[in-house]
Amino acid sequence: MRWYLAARRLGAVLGAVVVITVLTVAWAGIPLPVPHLGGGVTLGVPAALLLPAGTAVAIVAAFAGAGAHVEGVAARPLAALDRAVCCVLVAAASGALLGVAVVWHQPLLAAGARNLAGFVGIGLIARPLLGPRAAPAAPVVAALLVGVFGQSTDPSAWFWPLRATGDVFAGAAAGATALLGAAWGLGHLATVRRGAGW
Amino acid sequence: MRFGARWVASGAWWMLPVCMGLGVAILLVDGSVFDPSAASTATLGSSSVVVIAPVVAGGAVWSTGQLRRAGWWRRASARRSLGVVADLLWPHVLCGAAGLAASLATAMATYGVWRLPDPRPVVAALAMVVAAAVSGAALGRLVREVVALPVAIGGWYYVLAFPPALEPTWLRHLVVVRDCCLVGRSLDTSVVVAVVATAVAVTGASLGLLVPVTQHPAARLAGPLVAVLALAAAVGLVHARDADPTSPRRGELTCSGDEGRIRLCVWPEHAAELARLERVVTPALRAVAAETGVPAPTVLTQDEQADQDAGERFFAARPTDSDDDLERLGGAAAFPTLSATCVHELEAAGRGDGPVPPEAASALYEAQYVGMLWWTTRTVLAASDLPLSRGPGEARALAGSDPPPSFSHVWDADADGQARWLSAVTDAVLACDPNLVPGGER
Repeated sequence: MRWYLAARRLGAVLGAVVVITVLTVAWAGIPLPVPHLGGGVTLGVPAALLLPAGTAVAIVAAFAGAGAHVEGVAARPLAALDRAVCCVLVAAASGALLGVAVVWHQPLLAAGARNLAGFVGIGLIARPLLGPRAAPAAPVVAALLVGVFGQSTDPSAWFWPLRATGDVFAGAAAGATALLGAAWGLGHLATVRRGAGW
Repeated sequence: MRFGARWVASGAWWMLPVCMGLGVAILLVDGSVFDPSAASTATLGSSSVVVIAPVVAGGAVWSTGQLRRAGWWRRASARRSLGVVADLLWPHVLCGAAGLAASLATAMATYGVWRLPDPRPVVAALAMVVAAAVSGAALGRLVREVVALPVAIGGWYYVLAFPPALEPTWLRHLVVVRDCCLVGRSLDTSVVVAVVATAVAVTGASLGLLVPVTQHPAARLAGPLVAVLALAAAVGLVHARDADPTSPRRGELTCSGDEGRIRLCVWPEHAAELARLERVVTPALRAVAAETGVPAPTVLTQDEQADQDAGERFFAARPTDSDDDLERLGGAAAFPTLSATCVHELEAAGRGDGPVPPEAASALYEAQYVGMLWWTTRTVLAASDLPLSRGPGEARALAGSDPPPSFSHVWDADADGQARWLSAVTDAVLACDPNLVPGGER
């Protein structure tokens, strides 16, 4: 088990998750300047909606080495272990955000918890598509695309991370993305078949 | 390595559609220019570097990361590192350039500007693409991809996107060329040089990290030195600027009208509209002169440096303006504005640094706009068949804030009173003398 923890770098990942979650809570309402290129103005997207992408990067990066050929002969059920660890990390980080949202009446943080699950799902789905080493970039790219193209008083369904806290579709999209990522993206055989990346 | 093999091995084959797609998409979502021209469409097209450079940096991380995983950097090699790095990076730079080209073509097609774009914003954007590629390569060599990729992509995006939101406002001139240009303004080359210098600084610092000291000791030392010098030069070039990267345009204007009549002078891009301008604007100027006694200008020009004392007045108009808009703009241009020297003196007076009392300076500063607001409000009310009693409310809507207190005073006066006040203020503005403003001597 110690080798597993070392291979997944869970100490460093946990540290990064804690730091970014604390920053998300502290800067929840601060508008991140997102440029509006043509208008010469900069529109603010609340940090609570986009910073969880950083947490997602840390969580997805933990599994960058998963599925290497050497793990194909492991006695332990590593894929199941990966799924369990991933779920625990997402639940802990989202739970912390939700807890603060409820206690301090900050609904933005509840949307942040939703987006965290969704961004992790995007990163995990990217694993078999882009390779485990490139996958951690996917949540960042998704957050940037959403920030640049999704600015609107009523963001379209494609830009669900920017929709209101109570938006049912956004919640469903984030949940479905997270489930698909955990089920497919962390599938052990899929990564073994593709090797350890390009 | 052959062109095709390098192209495929670098991953550029999938980066190319991403760069080109982003370059087009960002303009379709965000792109707009006020005055379509070779300079403004080139600036708009080049602004897509904000989303293209992160992709290039990510690709470069991946390419050098492959060598890092293979342990190439630690092995003895017959090839020089710089040669290998150049061989690795050119496909990524090419992808970035193709993305910028797609973006430029989109900007030109959107505004129908089919002439060679101003090369300066394009050169600045290309320099940033090269800097993104080299810095991404350095990051990919030093750090694992799982960290380097998100940092390179997110970092480059925010390096290029954040400065326009930061104070001091000149910081934006270090990374991108933007907000260029109205037809009467021209892009300052110093801003372009500053962006290129910043790109050189990033490239130099990255090369210092990228090459092994055993192979290129001079480059390893020269890189940071070049970075510091280039960054200092960039800051030196733009630190005194405000947010505007432009200066008044110089050059020949196209004029109409005979001696003795009001001449209209426009920049060549607007020459086709000269007849319409003359048909709409000249009667408006004569109407202002007839109602207020403020003399009609001898020349109405798009040159910002109009000689007001010689009877020239500046006006801003675009071919897309309607006849109603042109009537408003043209008539308002009959009233002179304070010269830059005068504004400087009034600002000093406002700080208590001159012989003029701050209140008087403020009164003259505000009064320069009252004539324009008076004419604009009148034409808007007349076009909408609204009563004159709606004047102050309409003026507030037009100005976007409460009009100067003297506006209501002028609006409520009879025709003679209005003419006297506006004529007196015109003289005060031209002479930069607050004492000539009715009530300004207090």
